[in-house]
Amino acid sequence: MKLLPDTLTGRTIAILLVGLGLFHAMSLWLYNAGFHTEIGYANERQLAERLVGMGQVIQAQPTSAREEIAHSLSGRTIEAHWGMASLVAVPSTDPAAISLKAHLTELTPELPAARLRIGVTHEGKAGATRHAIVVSLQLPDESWANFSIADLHNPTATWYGTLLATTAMAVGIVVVSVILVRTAAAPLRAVTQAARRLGSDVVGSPIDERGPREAREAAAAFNDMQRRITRLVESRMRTLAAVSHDLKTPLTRLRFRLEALDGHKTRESIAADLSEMEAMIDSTLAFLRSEAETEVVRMTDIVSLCATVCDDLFDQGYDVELARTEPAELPVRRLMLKRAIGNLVMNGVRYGKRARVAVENRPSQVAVIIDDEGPGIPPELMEDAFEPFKQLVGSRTERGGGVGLGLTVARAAARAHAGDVLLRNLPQGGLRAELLLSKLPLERIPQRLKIG
Amino acid sequence: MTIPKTEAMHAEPAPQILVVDDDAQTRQLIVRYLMENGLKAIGARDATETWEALASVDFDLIVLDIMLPGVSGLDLCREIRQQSRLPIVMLTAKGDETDRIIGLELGADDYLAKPFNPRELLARIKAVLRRCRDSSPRTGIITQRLGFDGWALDLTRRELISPSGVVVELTSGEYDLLVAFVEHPQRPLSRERLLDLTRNRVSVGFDRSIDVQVSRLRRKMEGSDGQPVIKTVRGGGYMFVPAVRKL
Repeated sequence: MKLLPDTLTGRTIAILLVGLGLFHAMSLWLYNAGFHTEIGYANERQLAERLVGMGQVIQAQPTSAREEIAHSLSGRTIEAHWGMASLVAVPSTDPAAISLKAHLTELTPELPAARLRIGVTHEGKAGATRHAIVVSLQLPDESWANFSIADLHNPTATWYGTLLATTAMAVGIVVVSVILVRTAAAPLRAVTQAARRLGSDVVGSPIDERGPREAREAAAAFNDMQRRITRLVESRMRTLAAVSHDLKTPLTRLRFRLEALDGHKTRESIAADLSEMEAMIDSTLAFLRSEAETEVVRMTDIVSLCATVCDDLFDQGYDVELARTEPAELPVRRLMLKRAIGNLVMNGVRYGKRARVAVENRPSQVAVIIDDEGPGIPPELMEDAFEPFKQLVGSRTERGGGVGLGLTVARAAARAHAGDVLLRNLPQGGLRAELLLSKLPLERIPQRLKIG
Repeated sequence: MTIPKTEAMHAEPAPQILVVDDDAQTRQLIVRYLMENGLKAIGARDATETWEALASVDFDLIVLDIMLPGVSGLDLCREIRQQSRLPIVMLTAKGDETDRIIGLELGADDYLAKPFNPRELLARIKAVLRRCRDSSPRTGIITQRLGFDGWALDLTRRELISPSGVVVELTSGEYDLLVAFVEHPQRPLSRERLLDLTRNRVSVGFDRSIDVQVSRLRRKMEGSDGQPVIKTVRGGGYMFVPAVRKL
């Protein structure tokens, strides 16, 4: 179970709400306590004045009329009676009673404390216990005026109003802070997006260094990291490219020297070795180039592209057939795609004896499908097959001369066309490679290539 | 205009070739190989030596490496082309399509990526020499485009473009065959003649019968009207039907 919300915004709001809640509970309590003390004090003073006044009125009456006047003086909160005895047997030690007694004594200094008795009664009334205070005032003629008073501290109606006001304020603060936190977190989200993009495209543009300082620093650190990665990748590429280029000069010389070895019996095998080396250099360079491709996008007939690849390989003696086609024209980088299809078809004949190629024109993409009749690839190794220089089959001879870049280059090419290369084993045996090309409009094809 | 197949190189004085490459060993190997194969050849290591050689000897063709110290091969190619129509075969280690196109646009007549087969170089040299002697000199080599029946054939980029503007990919064999057709349109061409016209262009060791190439070309160039661009001629051979014009 997750106690904390997931996002920065969520967490900030949660923390803010808890703090606000505590703050409000505290201030409400303080406010109420103060309010009640103040009201209670005012009530007590008022009550004391009324009691003394009522006592004087009762006292001024002849004894026969005293009970009647007492009754007519009674109101909603104070009930007055006159009698010869006090209704308070034992003075109460209740703080309210003591406080009231102090007020009364203070207001009527002529009133001796001994002639004032205050008690608390508990009346059970309709399920709720009500406290009542009973005050007995001894009149100068030894008779008693008894007052029973309903609870001094009546709850006041302003309570709900206060709650409503503070809640409204809390909601307002939350709304404002949501907006603020989201604004502050926006640069952070930009960093996240850039980091995610970096995974697929090292040469992306740097992110804006804006927002609060922490976000600016994060963006700056990220841009710095991206620059270093780009430099690293570039220098690695340059090195590999330079080595591959430089190899071509001695290879050319070897071709000429070989020509001079006319009639020699090892000549053919040396020529074959040279061809293999050339193929390796070619595919390495293709792999490197796929990261800095400059070829322009042209509207191209995909079927004739596949036919060209298949016919070329067929003429070289491989078992390749373009089995079924649906007309398909797409804006593509032609040479890059030709190489990608060639790689997949060569994989088919290398590892799967023969390759059957099909072109399907689907609603949102064009699929070039290459089926072979080989052993397929164990499902857990499917993704590994795309790794550069990763070889699933043992020795170079067993693999038939591949370098380990075919699928890497093919996938990079497909992804440069907003597509992908997918592999799966066929139920009847053999591997199916699907090169998918998205039917994006010409201008939406990304101009910069991704690293696979 | 057509030249009999029996025409031999030896009927005339051996063509004089200038080999420009900064790598001494490569240069010597190329020179020696060309000389062993009946051509005269001299080497030059950079732009300066090239101009010196051009001033003293009357060459028939230059084999020019793109990667040269100082003035690059591309610049040298442009400068030579500004002064003469001397055929140029470019060499490069880059093997980059854009390089090839730039080279051809600058006026090179052919292009070969290192590492290449010596026989292929020889075949290309001979083809270029023959083409230059054969046809009326090509005016303005830069971006040659031929048009027929709505189609366009870009000789610089080696591209066939359909009437609807779509690039139709061709194998090098198909391309060479199509070039042979558009250079000799609207006349019957025998299989032997076609083989002869395409042989020097095609990669060494490549052999696929003309019939197969023609049927592949036909499939790729199926027009909307269903009219075949290449007609089979009775008695063996083919004819390119549409008229060809420069674009």
